[in-house]
Amino acid sequence: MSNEQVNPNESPKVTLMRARLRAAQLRVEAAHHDSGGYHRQANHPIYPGQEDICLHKAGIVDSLRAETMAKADLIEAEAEEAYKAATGEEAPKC
Amino acid sequence: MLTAAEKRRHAQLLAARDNSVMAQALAGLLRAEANLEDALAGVEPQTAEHCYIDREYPLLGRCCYDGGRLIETQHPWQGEQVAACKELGLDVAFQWASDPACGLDQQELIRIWIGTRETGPRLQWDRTSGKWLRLVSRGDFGKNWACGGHWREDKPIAQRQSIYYDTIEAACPEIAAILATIA
Repeated sequence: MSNEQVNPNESPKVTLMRARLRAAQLRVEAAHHDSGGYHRQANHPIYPGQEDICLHKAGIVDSLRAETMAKADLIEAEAEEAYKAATGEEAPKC
Repeated sequence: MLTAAEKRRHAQLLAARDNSVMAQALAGLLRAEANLEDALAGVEPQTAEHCYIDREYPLLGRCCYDGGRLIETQHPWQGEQVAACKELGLDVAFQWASDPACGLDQQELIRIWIGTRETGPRLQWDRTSGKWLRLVSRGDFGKNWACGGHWREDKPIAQRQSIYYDTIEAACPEIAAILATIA
């Protein structure tokens, strides 16, 4: 479950849009986790063993990005479910 | 501040111009902000035709952006002005924000560097302070008179705080006099 606080007086649409905004913020955060530099350096190692080190670091950054993206998807999916439960309609597309 | 409709237009232009993960994520963020603003206001989502942002910079004057793209400068600083400057032994370099991670600040001017053929970098304008600093070059500027090589701020070494000047005239009257003949 996500930790999003839901205001009971808020309309389901506003709650959904708030959750989508939070998900979008997390996607921007995930985009900052860019492992491209590590992959490039791994292809041009300047000392023996640097390739392994860079690939390891790239793996860490990739998993951070995957985790953040998954959090964003979860927040959005939960909000869409909540919207459907409250209104009986599918959540509007962005 | 952009309206929700303008944010949507900005997102549209950003997503169409740049296919990088960061640009697409930022476009998504702008759309999400616009959607929330519309939902709070209880209005239907709309997309504006333009999303103009105006900025005022030294030398260039008023600059107009549309969707993170510079579309107009009050005082264009291009080929002929640069050539005239170089003939007078002066070089001006503009440092722009090109990273899409800058979001709404993309393509904004970050710094202006002014240097002379003899001395190298002499003046720097910074967006954060909006003021000018005097510089002293170590002499290794090479062909890049405006911002090449190593330099430090022109102030007593014991003084910790920077000395800022509001205008080029206050910071370096001789450079201001040369620039006045060009602009």
